[in-house]
Amino acid sequence: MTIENRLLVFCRKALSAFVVTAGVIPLYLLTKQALTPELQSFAWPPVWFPKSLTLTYVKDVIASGELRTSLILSARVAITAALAATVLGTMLGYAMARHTRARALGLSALTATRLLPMIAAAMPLATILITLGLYDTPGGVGLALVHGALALPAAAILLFSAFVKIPIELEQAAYLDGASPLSIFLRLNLPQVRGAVAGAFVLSFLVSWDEFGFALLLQPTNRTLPPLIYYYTVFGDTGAASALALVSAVPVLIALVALRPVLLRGLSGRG
Amino acid sequence: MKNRRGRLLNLCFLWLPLAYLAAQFAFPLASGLVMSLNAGGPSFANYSFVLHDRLFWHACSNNLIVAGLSLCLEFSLGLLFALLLHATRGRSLLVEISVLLPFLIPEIVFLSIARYILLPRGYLNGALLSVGLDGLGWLNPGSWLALLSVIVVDAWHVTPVVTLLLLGGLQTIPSELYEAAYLDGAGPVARLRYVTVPLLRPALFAALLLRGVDALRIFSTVLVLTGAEGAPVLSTYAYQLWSDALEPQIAMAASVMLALFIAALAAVVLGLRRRSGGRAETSWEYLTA
Amino acid sequence: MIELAVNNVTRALGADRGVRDLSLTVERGEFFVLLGPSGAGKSTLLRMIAGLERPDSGDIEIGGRSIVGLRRPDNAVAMVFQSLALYPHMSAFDNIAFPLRMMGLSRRETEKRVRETAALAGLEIDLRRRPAYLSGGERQRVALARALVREPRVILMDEPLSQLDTQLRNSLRLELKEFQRRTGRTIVYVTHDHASAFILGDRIAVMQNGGIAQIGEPVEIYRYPANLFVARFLGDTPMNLVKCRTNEGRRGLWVGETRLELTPPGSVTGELMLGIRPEDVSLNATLGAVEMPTVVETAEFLGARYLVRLRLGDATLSAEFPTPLKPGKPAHLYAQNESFHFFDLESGRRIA
Repeated sequence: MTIENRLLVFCRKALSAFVVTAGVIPLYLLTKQALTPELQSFAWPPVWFPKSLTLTYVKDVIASGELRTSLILSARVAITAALAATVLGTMLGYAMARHTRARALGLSALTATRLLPMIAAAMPLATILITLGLYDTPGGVGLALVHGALALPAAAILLFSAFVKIPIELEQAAYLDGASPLSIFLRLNLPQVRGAVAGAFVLSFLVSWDEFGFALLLQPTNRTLPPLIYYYTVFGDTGAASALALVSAVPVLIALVALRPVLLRGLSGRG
Repeated sequence: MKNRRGRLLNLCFLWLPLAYLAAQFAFPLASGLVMSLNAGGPSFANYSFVLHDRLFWHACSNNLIVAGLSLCLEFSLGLLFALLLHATRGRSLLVEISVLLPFLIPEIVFLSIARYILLPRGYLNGALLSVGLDGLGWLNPGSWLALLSVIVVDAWHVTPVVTLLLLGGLQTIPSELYEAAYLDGAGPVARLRYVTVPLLRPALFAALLLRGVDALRIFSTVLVLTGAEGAPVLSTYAYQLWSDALEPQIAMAASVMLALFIAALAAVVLGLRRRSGGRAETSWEYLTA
Repeated sequence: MIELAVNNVTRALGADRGVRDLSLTVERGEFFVLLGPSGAGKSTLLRMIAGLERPDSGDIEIGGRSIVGLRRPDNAVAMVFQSLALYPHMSAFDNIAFPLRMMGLSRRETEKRVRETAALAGLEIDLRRRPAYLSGGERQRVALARALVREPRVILMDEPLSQLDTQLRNSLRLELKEFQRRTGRTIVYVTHDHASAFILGDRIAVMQNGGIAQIGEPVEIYRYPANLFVARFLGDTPMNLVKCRTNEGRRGLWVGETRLELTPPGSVTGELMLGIRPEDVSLNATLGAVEMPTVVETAEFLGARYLVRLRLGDATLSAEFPTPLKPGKPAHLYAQNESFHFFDLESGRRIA
């Protein structure tokens, strides 16, 4: 529409300003807290613009102790979970793309997974993992497996929408050329959805990296980052909590800004 | 693919992931159900305890208030933002990223900052002080203010998701429809009412389902901001029974109730959608949000 | 009486798209067709007339009033979109009623006018159905009715028939023409299909690169294309265009080494482009016809006729005959003097 109401333009500007403020303020405060010395962090009234900066907390996170252990655990859990979700998601996505009945079944299962209340699954899971000896382990295998299932819907859907775009005629041609179903999948279909596989991996990684509830209940002492941030925030050290949060947010922000087109466009299922 | 190997492959590809999901979620859920029916022998005692616990009803009502208000807030803001993004698409990267930021930051990080903002000696009260106003106890346990804080923070955090879902819906509306409506004499408000909103309905329902469920199972927001007792909801109620009161069976009973609420909500939303003439083509994109 | 006037309108869309300094007028009750290839600027022009886009410069008047920069469209124009743009969530009735509701008409009046308009557009269906449950032709009629219902001065159509199959398109096209004749509406119709333009148009404006190549009645444009572009663009089989030259001191035109008994109009000398339509060529010598000695190259069976390619001097001609000709054999073709067209080689303009 070429003709625009002045009021509308004004509203849009005001709204933009609001959106930018609401979006940027948390990130600013986080960065500020992570880089200010302790005295200023606890000052009242609060210091909006730090007078001096320190890298102590950030160094602590990277260099030593509990923080570093949990950083490594988080990464291990997230990578394992992302691998599981990507592999299984690729399989499920392919089955759903090729068979209507698989599609209906898959969608119901994924929707149910998406709607599941964390607490109702986590508490019995804790009991089950204890029996299996996977509860609260330093390697976090049990949690990684749960995260893999948690990330499966997003991964499967991403790959499903990539697989549906490949015309079935290609497969039929390869079949007539004598290729086996498995080699059709591995050599013909999989290479065409490399982008989606990468996207699914990153997305699943982030799901696990960000997850709080299951991590809190299933790894009570060998903590991944989110529960640790929670404990630091509620019970203690502003600077350390913020530095930890910052360190955990940075890879996410980078990945998501890079994935922005997928997020904005992929959601509408087009483009 | 009509041969046996092809069928085998497809069976594997479908059932392996589904079995994994079942092992991770369906099985624990079922065993939770079994545990909840066990109080030194099969009985409904755990449920009876929950239903007679004043705190449970308090958590229920809190949960409904939080879900209701936060949904209202999210959907009005989300629609506004989606319209804004749709109108400025390709023009303002800053706005685009800012809308998404609260969602892009890991949940716990966002909540941690929200807590620092709302603490008695936090940034919000600091800002109030600097304009000469007294600070408020935004997170005082048990206060309605704490509940309000939870609602606002939740909306702040998830409005981007709603925005994304609605934006996806907006992008499916062909621009020619707006032009046709413009030529038919419809102003901006009439276009919103007669074109945008009705055609956005499938996306609205998807978002409603997703966010309604998220709002019912809300956990970390409450835990981080107010602590499990500050503004108890069903999830934190069950968590407390489990981790502090060490009553796993009763906790399971409470969480089964929560699961039932969620199932009921899903049934209602899906039913509404069917009745409103939602066509067979299901929008599955919401699963990635 | 002039209903629509476009005066020196320019709208730039990138380097080579849009509309450049274009003027035209449309009479009341006229079926006016904008014809051109995609990218010629016809849709841009249509959208400016509709008020959906604003010209960079120039003015557009409907019924003597400028519509440029109006904050809302008044009732002057209605448009049928290429995709029809029917509201998918509304019934056929509500689609047609929408413009009236926006005008704030009473329910009874709305109902009455929707029924009348639906009948006028030839809609004989249950109007409670939604577009998704209508056939292509029915949707077309609903879109037309929606455009008609407000009784606009000018109805704009952006290739609304292009998405139908051939048979339905042909019958709806005739119906549309008949409808326009009966009701005397002013219609501006955009198309890239010259057959539609010929059948529908009282007048046609052939557009090229954002400007007008030629305006006129269909017969006039077909018989006297103003330049090479128009000559090439019209006709089922494109016009044969052959480079030829005059020879100093000798009468006639040369195509390669072959001489034709033709004199270009005026006193043009040197190289020029000779045009002749395939259907104007005949195998029978008639009085005063110009003879063209050719050699048959190929003959393709088209059903009713054969499309034959023949070598004339150093050029190739296409012609259509009811019988096949044998490749390799010589053939003498004849055409009337007035069916030859001459164009300037450089400017492409017709030499008259």
